[in-house]
Amino acid sequence: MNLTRRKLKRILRYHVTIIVSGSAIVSSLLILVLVLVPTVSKIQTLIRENETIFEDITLLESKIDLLDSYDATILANNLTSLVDALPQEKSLGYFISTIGAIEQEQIIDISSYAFEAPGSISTGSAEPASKKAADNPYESLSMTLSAIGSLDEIQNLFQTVGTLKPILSVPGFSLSFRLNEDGSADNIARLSLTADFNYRKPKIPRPAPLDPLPRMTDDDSELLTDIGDRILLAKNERSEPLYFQPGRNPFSN
Amino acid sequence: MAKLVDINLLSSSTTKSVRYIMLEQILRKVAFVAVTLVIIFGLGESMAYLYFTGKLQSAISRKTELIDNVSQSVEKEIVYRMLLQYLEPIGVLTKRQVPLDEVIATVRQLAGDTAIRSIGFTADHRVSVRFAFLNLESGLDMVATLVNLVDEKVIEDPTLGSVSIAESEEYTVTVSFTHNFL
Repeated sequence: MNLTRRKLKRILRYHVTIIVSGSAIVSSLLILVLVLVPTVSKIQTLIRENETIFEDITLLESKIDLLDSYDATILANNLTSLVDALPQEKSLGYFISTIGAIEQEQIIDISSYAFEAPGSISTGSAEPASKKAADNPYESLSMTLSAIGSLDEIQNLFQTVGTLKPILSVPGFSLSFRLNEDGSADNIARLSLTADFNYRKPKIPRPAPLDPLPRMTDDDSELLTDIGDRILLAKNERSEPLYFQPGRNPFSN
Repeated sequence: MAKLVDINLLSSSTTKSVRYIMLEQILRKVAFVAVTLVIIFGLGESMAYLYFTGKLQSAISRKTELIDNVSQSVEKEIVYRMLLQYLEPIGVLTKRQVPLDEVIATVRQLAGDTAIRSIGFTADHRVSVRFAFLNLESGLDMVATLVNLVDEKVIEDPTLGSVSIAESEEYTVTVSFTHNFL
């Protein structure tokens, strides 16, 4: 027993360098495989997370800068102006008031007008959500109109139509001059035109903080100015608010 | 050369071979390098871990702060997005809206001395006008104006209908053309 112990001691003493060095090498390898390599992948994950968060921060900062560059009141006024140009609903009242105002302004003497398949009198809420409506950027309500006037008055009417809110599209017209009894032409012409009143049911956005916000282009700004300059002859009575207010609880007083 | 000395483990004197001693030296160096590398690498890794964790924490708090800011102006954002939503169809509509008063102005320019009997305008911007005139010279002036308007690219693809004479001895002719809008 004693002899074995002595033997073992001698063997250890003889191989001490190799045992210690080998243990150090094996330990280093174990530390490398079990500790250092997994930590490297953790650090890589941290770096990726950092990059993602910095991208989010850049996005949020640019979004805040963009929103700060606009005045809330001006934005709301611009939206009102756009909705006057392209109503949110098939508002027959608004369209009829506009035609009435054209006559009241003595731009031309309107003999008659009729809407084609006006459907529900009021609003978009009564309309079926069709695929066609979803694909089109806007919907239209066609109207035929007859009027009597001189060529100057007709030219003036067309000029006015081009500067009106709501935006009226006139795909076609025909005019003919009345003939007198002696066969000569009168100065008064009969005008018959088809016009489209356009409207669009808006989709109320529900933006998440990290949804990117596109910038308004120069063309968009020009268009806003152009629409702002257009004449509003009749008041656009809305049955619904322009947009919901997320901070407001509709059930609270 | 590689003289091996008998290693008698049981004897009191132990001797090592040269190769064994060289192996020991190599292993000692390798072990030293390995331990040193592990220490350096471990320290570097720990520092990097701490650095990136700290950076992540501050980035998360900055992001939370910014999200709060954005949430405060959500109503403004909704209005802005609705504006953009409306601008697209309105842009389409205004581009499609042609200045019809220009059509009347062009027809008047074309008419000159001749009288306009009727005007028709269709969605493809095709205009057809019936003119009436008492002498052929007026008609010829009208044709000259028509050519000028084509040259100026105000109108294109003109067609001239046959001239007919009415009972009142006036000539009537129908002119069709496509109106260009700038």
